[in-house]
Amino acid sequence: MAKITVMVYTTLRDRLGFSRAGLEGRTVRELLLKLAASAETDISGILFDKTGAVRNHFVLTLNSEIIDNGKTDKAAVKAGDILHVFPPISGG
Amino acid sequence: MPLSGQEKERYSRQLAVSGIGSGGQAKLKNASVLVAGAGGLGAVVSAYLAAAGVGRLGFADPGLLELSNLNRQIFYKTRDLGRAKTELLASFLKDLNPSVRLEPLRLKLDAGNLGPLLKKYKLVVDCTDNFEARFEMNLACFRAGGTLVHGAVYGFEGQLAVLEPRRGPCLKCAFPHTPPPLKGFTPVPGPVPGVLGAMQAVEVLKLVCGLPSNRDRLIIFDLARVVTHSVRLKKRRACPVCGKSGHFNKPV
Repeated sequence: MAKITVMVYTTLRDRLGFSRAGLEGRTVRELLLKLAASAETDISGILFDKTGAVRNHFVLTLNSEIIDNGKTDKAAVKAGDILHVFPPISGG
Repeated sequence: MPLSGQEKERYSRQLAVSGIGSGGQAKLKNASVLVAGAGGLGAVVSAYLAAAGVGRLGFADPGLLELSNLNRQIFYKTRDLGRAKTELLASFLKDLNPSVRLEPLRLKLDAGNLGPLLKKYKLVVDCTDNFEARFEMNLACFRAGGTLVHGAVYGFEGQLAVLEPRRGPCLKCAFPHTPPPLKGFTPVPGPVPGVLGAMQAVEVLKLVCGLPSNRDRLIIFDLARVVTHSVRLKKRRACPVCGKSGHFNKPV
């Protein structure tokens, strides 16, 4: 199990109450499931759709490269990796 | 045309900047830039571009000044509530730099009315406040071959990108889907659009002067932690705007 840093933004940050977490896992999917479970109130519904896939408005980057929301279970992580989870924003 | 004595004095601090100089100043004078939105981002961008001596500056916004604008839209005045922002901004910019040719446009820009405007403006600075408008700007820039300087804010966060949708990734490549609408308004502390608007103006100056710009990257500003995150964007083949099979793939 690799320990990696997860950074979250906007509404996800508001709901989680933190912007950064150190989590352990083997794949991006495992990390996101742990992230959802780490909130005081369950935020699975914000992060995942009814089929369990990551909601398509979130962009996921692993070490600054965009990864496919549909293949998070195939995206292996290693110690020291940084995962960012962010949606587009529109305020002006 | 060489710079006048007044111009040399007015722009002396930027003429001394490596990469700008009198050549860059001449390019600024010949440049036409369109700013979409005259709010927290747009007024800041417009002010810096007018101050820098951009030759022609268009700015579009259908809105009237509201009390809730004034925590961040610092060029406006409390006594001007209810007046058209484009009119107020035109007055401010004219006083700031009378040599700039101003084109206030009191309208909501969309891909349709932006098309003809992009014949004279090849650079669009997106300072609107909703996804619908932002994707319209993106589509118009794809169709007309324009450059889009994207900036957006939420809370202590901002996003910045320089996109050339005809050549490189477009806004829809970066964000194929938008989140569910927010309940109410976007939370925003005043200085945050100030920072992002200033960053958009910096990118415009670099683009006009021919300096390396931040093309094809999305930069996320986290002003709560004071860190940035840079993401390399890629053109998506399946993009509905700029992809090979795009529904809108009809440059006009």
